[in-house]
Amino acid sequence: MTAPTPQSAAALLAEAAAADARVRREAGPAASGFLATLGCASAGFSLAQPVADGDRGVLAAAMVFVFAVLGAVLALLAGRRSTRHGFARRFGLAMGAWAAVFAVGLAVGLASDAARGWAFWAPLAVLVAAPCLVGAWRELPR
Amino acid sequence: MSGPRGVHPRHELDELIHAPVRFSVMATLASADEAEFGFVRDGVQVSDSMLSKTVSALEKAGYVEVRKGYVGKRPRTWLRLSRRGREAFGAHVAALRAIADGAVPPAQPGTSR
Repeated sequence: MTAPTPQSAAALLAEAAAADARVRREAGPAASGFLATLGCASAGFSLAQPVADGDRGVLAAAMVFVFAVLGAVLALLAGRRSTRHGFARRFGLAMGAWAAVFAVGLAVGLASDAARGWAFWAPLAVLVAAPCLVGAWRELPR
Repeated sequence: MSGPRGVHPRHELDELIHAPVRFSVMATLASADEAEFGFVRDGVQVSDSMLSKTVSALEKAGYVEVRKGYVGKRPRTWLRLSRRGREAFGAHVAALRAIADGAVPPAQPGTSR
């Protein structure tokens, strides 16, 4: 093996950096798009609660939410050619935080008569969207 | 130009990774948890057969793991670095960085290089 010169070693390091940038460009937008869609759909579902007219309104909002998330999942899986290193851990954190806030918020909101208005659902929309939007921002290519 | 143990960093280079195509493949996989065969091929700019051969060599060394799967009905091959491969690539890059930084090793009295 021929030992590299400082110049050729620097060139190899630059090549590794370029490969890293390429993976970020490839993997970032799909993951980011999925998390942003999930965050916005969850916020929309939460904001729909005060205006939903009875059970049918809630069911309609839930259907829109489920289809939006399913579409995002399919787009993520079908278009995926690589996943960034560390993505699974960051993804798990964002999804875990989202699921916890969403589950607790829904449980309280749907079970309690005191939590039927905008004063409850609007802040919940922000809280439930935040983990996903932060996760989406972290996955953006840089 | 000395490494952590006072030896020239070229001794820390991994001969298997040092080959250009293997290095490019490892660099791509080091940035990814997992990457599809076609993505690596396009990035490294080699043919399918060349990448297969390279991956086989790296897999044999325990540096790369291969997973076959499907997206819909389309077969896909996914590549990832094993833990050993990630460590080996990290050490290789550290050695390259030491060489690129160009630190001069202390001369050993009575020895010539």
